[in-house]
Amino acid sequence: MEPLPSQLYVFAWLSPFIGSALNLALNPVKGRAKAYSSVAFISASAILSSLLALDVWLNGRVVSFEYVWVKCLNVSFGFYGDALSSLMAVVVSWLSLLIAIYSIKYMEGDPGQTRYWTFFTFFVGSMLLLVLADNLVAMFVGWEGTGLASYALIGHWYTDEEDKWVGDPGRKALGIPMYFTPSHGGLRALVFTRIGDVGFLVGIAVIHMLLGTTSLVALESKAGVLMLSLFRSGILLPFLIVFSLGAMAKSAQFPFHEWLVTAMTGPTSVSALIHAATMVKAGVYFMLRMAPIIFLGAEVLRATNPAVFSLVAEYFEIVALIGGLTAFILGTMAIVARELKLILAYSTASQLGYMFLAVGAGALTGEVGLSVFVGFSHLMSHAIFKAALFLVAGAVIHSVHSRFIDDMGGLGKPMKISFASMLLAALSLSGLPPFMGFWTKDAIIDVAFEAHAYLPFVLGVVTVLITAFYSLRMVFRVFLFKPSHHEHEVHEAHPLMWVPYFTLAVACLALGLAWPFYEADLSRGLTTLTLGLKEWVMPTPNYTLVGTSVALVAFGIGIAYYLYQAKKVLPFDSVKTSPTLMKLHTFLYDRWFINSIYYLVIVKGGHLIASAISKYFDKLIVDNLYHRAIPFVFGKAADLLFRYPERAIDLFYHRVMVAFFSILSNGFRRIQTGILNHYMLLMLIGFATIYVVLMLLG
Amino acid sequence: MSPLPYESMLVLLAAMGLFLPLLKKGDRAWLLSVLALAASLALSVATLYLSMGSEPCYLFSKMLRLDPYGSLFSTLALLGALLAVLASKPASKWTTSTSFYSLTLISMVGVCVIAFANDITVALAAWLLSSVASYAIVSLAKDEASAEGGVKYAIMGSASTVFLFMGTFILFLSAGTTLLSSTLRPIPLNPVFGGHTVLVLSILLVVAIGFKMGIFPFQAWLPDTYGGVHPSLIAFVIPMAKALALLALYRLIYPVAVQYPETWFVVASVFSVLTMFFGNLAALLQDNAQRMMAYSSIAHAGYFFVGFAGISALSGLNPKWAMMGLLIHYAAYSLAKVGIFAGLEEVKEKVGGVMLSDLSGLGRRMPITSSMLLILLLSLMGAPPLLGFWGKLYLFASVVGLSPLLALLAILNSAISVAYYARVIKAMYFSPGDYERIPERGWPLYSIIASAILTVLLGLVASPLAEMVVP
Repeated sequence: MEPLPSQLYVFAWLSPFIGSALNLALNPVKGRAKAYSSVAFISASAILSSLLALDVWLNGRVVSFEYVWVKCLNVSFGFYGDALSSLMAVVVSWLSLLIAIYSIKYMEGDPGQTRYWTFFTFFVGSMLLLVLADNLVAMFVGWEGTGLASYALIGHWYTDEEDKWVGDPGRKALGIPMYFTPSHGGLRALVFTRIGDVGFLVGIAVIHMLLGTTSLVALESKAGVLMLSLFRSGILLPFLIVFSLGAMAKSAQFPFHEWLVTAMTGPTSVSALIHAATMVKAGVYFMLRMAPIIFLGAEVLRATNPAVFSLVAEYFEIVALIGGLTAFILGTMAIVARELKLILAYSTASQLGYMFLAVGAGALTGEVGLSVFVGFSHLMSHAIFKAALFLVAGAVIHSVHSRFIDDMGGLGKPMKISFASMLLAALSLSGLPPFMGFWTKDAIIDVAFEAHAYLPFVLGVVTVLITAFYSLRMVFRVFLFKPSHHEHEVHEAHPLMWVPYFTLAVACLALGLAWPFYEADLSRGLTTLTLGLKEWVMPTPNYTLVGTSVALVAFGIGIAYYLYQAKKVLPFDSVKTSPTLMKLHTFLYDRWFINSIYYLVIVKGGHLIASAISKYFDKLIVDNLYHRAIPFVFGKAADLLFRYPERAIDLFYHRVMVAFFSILSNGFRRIQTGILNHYMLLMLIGFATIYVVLMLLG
Repeated sequence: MSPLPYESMLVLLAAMGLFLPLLKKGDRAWLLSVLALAASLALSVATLYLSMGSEPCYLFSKMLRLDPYGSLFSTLALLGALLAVLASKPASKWTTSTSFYSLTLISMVGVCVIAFANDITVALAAWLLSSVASYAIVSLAKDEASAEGGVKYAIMGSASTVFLFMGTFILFLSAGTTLLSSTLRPIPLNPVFGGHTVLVLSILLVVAIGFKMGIFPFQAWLPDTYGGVHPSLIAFVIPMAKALALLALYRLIYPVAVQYPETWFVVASVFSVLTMFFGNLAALLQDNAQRMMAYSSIAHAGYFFVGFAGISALSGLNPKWAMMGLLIHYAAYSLAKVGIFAGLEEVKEKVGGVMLSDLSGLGRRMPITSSMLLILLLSLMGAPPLLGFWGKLYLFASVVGLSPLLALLAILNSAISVAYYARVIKAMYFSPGDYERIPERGWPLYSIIASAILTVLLGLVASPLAEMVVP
């Protein structure tokens, strides 16, 4: 393929930003103008990203260039398109395009059109900037841009009507309310991710301090130096963890997953784009970007400093464990969720856990290329099927006017295309062959086993069963089961809405069917053309594991089918009769009480500490000190001092100080008499004074 | 390089300036002067382009030296002048308007010459040409305040010119030649004044040239002139006079500063600290937005002097950053002041005054103007990523290595200044006022929008652009 001039590729991320600015200017224009212009600008970046990916993958070259922005701080604004970033850009931009098309209809008639489209395009621009940046600072700028857009779009319906909430109104766990308004959800997202971002920023600062640069390429070439100096300062492991905090928070890993749940208060198109397909992947992308560099740094020092290597291995063990835990914990929550979008949100975080598991386990096998290949494959397949699932969910919620699956059921008849789309995507999510989700999830299980990371491996395998069950439970409850009654007739979504999700659903199947044909090329590209990687690696398939996981998937689907289709029973009815099961249900339904614990420990605890300080320290010690002890001492002292220095002090405070300050404050105004002669005098006196003073000093 | 674009620019400005008073209609004069300034801007960009990467070119028996730094500086000055003249469309109805447009062009000739002056006499001639033109310009509005401001400016200006003659005379005596040869060869100084030649020389030049920028204690005329004269005229005078003063200081002082860095550093920092504090503290007390902006100009003169302190090549100082800072800060300052004064003129016209109380609720009444003013005020404050931020960053960073105290005081002053800029913003956006929309259209508005947009856009490219022209 004939390569384009590199500089042109900048428009891949610049074009949505231009669209965003234009949307603001289009504010007075009614109708779909903003929607169409946004779609146009996002299409431009989708086309450019595709050209970039073709350029990189076909020509086998890395497209990068640098534009020095602030030389004195060594900050540059660069572009880095290698196999990983170009493919990520393709995934992001095309999904954004499809979801933008969906939103044309979905957001029609919403009074906040300008806000919606401005932040939508701003998000796409920021996300692509993050992906295509060649240094950490630019990446951080994009990173924060996505956070801002996410905050604004979660709180899009800031008037907080009850039908936009998340959670059962009135429900409490451990005395803490478990229902959230859109504005509360937006704030939570901002606060939770900010905690991690501080870590990211600290990491950038440390790297800049040690290496004097934040460029990814330089980071790769100096990885060994960085690791060694961190090791010598004794902060290698803490640094790596702090540096990854931003990624963990962004990708909703345990214990930062809470924000993603309440982010579901935003419009469903936003949940599909930001909280399923792209932004939450930014954390995973960061890990995929950094893992080879970190690993390389450790490997360089392996011979001379084996301790560095073992610390880095420990870090990857932690990453894998966090991933496994997240996959499991959030998966269990999805089993009992009653809100369609919540099921999907739990499942998103759970799948992101798989990706972290892939990154950690891949590096632990000793071939960090596996991290990138396996992690990215699952990222891609998840982005496709989860976007489809969310978009269907949006259409369904829109047509039944309820977010609870209890109010759904039997929708398969009026909404055939949506049913088909959700079924295909859900089968991909559950990991049934030959869907794409099967291949990519299986690769993760394989790698986890190969890495001997047994605890994460077991968690991952158990989650396979859980995933299959909740995915199909969702499909059955929404589209089959017992038909529910609706005040008005439910009908199929508008083509502008179903075309995007049907396309995505078919893509899950098609990409899955074709997987064996392009798997090798994908892994070769990703493991040889990505920063920090050179050797082509492939996971070795383990047929026992494949068999086990397929059996687990079939088992999970079977249970769901038996309960919701063959028997058509609600398990909750029997759960209610058993106190033990009910306790378990509440435990899962209230999200393992993690939210309540946060509020109890951090919010309530903070309040307790503050009031304790006020009560004991402030009132007892400080007040007594100020109102009793100090007055007593000073009273005595004043008595003694009263006679002698009193007059002089009096004079000083009441005459000298007052005069000084009034001269200072009025002096400036007095200089400005408005009379020219005074000005001339001031000029001459000023000249003479400064001259004499400098002369004496010099 | 070919000096042709530069020479044509001078001829164009001078010829058009002499031709315009012959016209009867003010709006034609306005149009012609806009066209002339736009053409000069293009020619100046051409000069800049030609001068980059080639050996400096000498003109008129080495009296002028075309280099990229001067080219970019004069380009920015022409840009400011163009925007100011665009905004002054309403002034074309005055009886004196043809004189105004003619004088704008003639004064720009002076700026474009002094930007490349390599000879004391040429610098003096250019200085006088522009100065005298600006004295006339400020009194053209024919109202009492403008007349008063004009007279004060002219008389103080004449007095300070005496200092300039004394200063340049000492420079000539010490160097034995009128040729500055700019950055190439430091001038050897004879000890005419005992050991204090450099000190005397420095202070004299600061009095004379600093007077024009509003360096304390030679600032007294400035609040009356900038704060009282018709804002349209001030919008032009500010970028022109500031360019004139900065370039004069740069051309005349740089050779001295390089050779006697210790003395010059002390002189520049003393004046800079005094001026920053005076300007910022006095601005805090103002209730009249135009007067407040006049004091803010004084404070900015202090920031520029931080940069002048930084051009002396002492260890710990970074002259390159200082020069970049002077350039970027000039761009930020002139764009902001042109836009703000043009905006104040609009407000004065439509609301009736420019007291802070007149500005209340302006954000609702004139939303476009107010949002643009907001950008410009933020740039003056030094908010990233606007142009004003980069200017201050380089100016302050250039001295931080040698004198962290000076940098700290400068940052402290920046912080103080936020207080009064915020008062304007508060009045516009957070104070109750009329709700009635005021129609916004016309050239002044376009000029304000252009300055705000340029402030944002140039902010993104300022560093690499300035990097290219600094020797």
